[in-house]
Amino acid sequence: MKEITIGQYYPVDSFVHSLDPRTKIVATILIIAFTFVCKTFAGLLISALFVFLVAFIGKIPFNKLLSSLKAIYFILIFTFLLNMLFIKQGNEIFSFGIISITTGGIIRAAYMAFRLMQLIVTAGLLTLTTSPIQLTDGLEKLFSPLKIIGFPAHEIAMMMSIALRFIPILTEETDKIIKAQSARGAVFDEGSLFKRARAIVALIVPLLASAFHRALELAGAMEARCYHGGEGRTRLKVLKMQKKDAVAFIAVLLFCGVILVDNLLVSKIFPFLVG
Amino acid sequence: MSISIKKLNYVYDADSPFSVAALEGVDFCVNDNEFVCIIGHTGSGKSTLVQHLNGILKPTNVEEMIIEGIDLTAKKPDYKSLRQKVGMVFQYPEYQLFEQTVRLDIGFGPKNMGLTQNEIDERVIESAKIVGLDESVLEMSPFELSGGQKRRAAIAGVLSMRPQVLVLDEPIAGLDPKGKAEILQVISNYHKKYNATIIMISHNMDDIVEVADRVVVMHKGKKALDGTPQQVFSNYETILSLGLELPTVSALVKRLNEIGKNVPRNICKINDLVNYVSGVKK
Amino acid sequence: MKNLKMQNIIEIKDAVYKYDEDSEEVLHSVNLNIKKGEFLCILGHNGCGKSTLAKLINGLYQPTEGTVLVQGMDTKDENKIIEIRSKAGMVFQNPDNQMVATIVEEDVAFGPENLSVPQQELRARVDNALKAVNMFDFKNSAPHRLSGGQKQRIAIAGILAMEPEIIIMDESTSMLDPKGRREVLETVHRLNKEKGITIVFITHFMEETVDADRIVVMGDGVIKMEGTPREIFAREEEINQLTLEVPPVTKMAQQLNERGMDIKRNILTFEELFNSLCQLV
Repeated sequence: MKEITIGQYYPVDSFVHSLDPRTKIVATILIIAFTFVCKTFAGLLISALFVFLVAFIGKIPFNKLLSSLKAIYFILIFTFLLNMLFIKQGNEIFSFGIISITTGGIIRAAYMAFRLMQLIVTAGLLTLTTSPIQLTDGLEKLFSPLKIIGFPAHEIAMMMSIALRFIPILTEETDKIIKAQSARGAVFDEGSLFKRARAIVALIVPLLASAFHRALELAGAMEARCYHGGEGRTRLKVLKMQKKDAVAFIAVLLFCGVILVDNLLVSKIFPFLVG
Repeated sequence: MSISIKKLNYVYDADSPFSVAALEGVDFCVNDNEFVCIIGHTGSGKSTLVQHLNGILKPTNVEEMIIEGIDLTAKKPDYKSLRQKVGMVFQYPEYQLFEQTVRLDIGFGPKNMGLTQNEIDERVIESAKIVGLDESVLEMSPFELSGGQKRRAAIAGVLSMRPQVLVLDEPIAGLDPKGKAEILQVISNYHKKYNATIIMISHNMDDIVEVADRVVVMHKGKKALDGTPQQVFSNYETILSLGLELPTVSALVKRLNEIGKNVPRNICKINDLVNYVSGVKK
Repeated sequence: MKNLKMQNIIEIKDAVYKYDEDSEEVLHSVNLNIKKGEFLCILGHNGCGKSTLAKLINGLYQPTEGTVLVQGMDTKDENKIIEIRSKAGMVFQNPDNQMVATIVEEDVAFGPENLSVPQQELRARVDNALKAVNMFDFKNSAPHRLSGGQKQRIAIAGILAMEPEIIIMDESTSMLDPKGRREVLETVHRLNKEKGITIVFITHFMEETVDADRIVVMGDGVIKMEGTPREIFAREEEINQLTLEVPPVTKMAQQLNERGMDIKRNILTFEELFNSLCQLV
């Protein structure tokens, strides 16, 4: 069975898990933003260490944390190569025809790849330590001021949580249909484009049919359980900011401060290190 | 010999930290034209085992694996002809229906085999007949059919490849009694008409004792019992300790023995029980 | 036999249902009263109208003609529909397609949350409901890690948390393995006995109806038979005509009887069959 990181909550008791999802969402945005603001290698290292520290406090196993990177390794390599080939800075270390590679290019490429990794890992950490329902609750609450201008915060949150609920089911189903059609001689990974397209139809049609069927049944079940929109709904778990949320916020703000100071210092003292 | 597998091991997600041993040292041999039923709990490895039979899952390691004359331990096993020889009906197979018409859907397998249009048409009609679908249904969309019809159309889509070995994973799950009886009849007809080897996963012990030549019990990735229904179901202690049920007849015989009646433990079919009781009366 | 009160909790009068104006009737003039505290089974093959009838009871469908009253409330009354659904909770066939949340306890809370139950009470209701179906230890689990039988018990807990008078089980056992079916059946029988919840149990497995107070057999959109399990199972011919099958134990008794053995044909339980066999061996 495949493991999917996005939406796959890792249920343990930890300080990070017990934080308010709003705290975690805002903190994640701040960490990612400051990773992109950060201009120095030391700063990137600090931000990586910070995320690992949070993961450690959150009792998330190392491999679980990094497993989301698997999904984007192609994009990573692509970004790295693109940056390396097109940025011309510093000394040229290799050239062949129109291709030339510079030290600055490599540094910039490495920075970019690192930032991307940091983005994925940090976002992954949020979903690992926050149950999808909490996540959607948090987003709903964060966006609820926009309800005044007619923004459907509750509906979007409900749709997101249902989507998350059905990801493992539909993944399993995809796997099953691929197996069933392969057993009937469909080939998904070789042959002409036309042949493959036909094979994909044999996958997509049953998958859609089943998704629609499930959606209809689920809608009926929700209605039978008295669902009538977000109005007047109470919640089992009400979001409440606590002292520890303040602690977490201070930690994140400190981190942001360190990155800023680092940027200023390094760019003054070691300007050549800045990517 | 239809299937000969020795010491089959299979590990899910072998390279990842989540790896789980799903099969450990399983020997599985099946004679030509044998009707084998596999029982066991969810997670016992029974589905994993049967998915090896047409190469959908590949063994992590295995000592010997020859299926319908194809050696799967070879460097490049011929998976294409394996899939033609071993037909696989998954749980709730109606989920595989996708074509515009039932005719096209049943013909999907034969078409992938590269048969001519005439041959395909012939097979579609014959398969529809085996599963008891009326020819008028063939031009309908598979999505318009009733639940039982969908199941039969999906099974026809596998039978149309005319597999020598037919593997079925809980083919009667979720059907009403009528649908259930129809599908069991279809399987039995195919078994007889084409001298096919049948391997069926099922929960229903009362059905199994009546149809199976042999019963294999899986537990935690290992083979727990293997033998004729009489041999397997006379082993009450093992069956019950694995949390499985006894066929009704075996359960009756067990109770009769418990109160001191001396009834042979290997009676598990209604016929045998009747014969025994009438013998006692005389 | 339980001492059933005379009070009807559900009254279905001349109910007719069709999906839309032009389509054929799925139910033709069904009349059925269900008593408070009763364990009623509705049997029938696929497409006989039994699921439609279930959906009429909790107001998912409104009858095209006739009336359906739940605790005296008309399902056509839009102001009462939420109350009706909370009093007549429904568990569906596919365990996966009725769970909304990714954590068990949050799923159980979904119903009462919709009913605006205050937070402190929600916690107690969810915990009690999970305990009532013996799934309290799983309250933080993800639904897709549970077995079919466990998921259906969670679905029952989700209904219990709404504090219903009636639970409608709409073929909720048909996708389960024998163990799961047993778990679910035991759970609803216990809720019926201990909490006095009225159960409407819809199935096509006759062996699940053995302990019911009353069985209603449907076919072609009408009620074909009605009576206690023993009365119904004795009417073999009619059952076969409706393409249903008597339970394995009964079937076995009948087969033994046909082979000339002295065993009654209307045997219901394993114990009865065993006792009559003892006389012979």
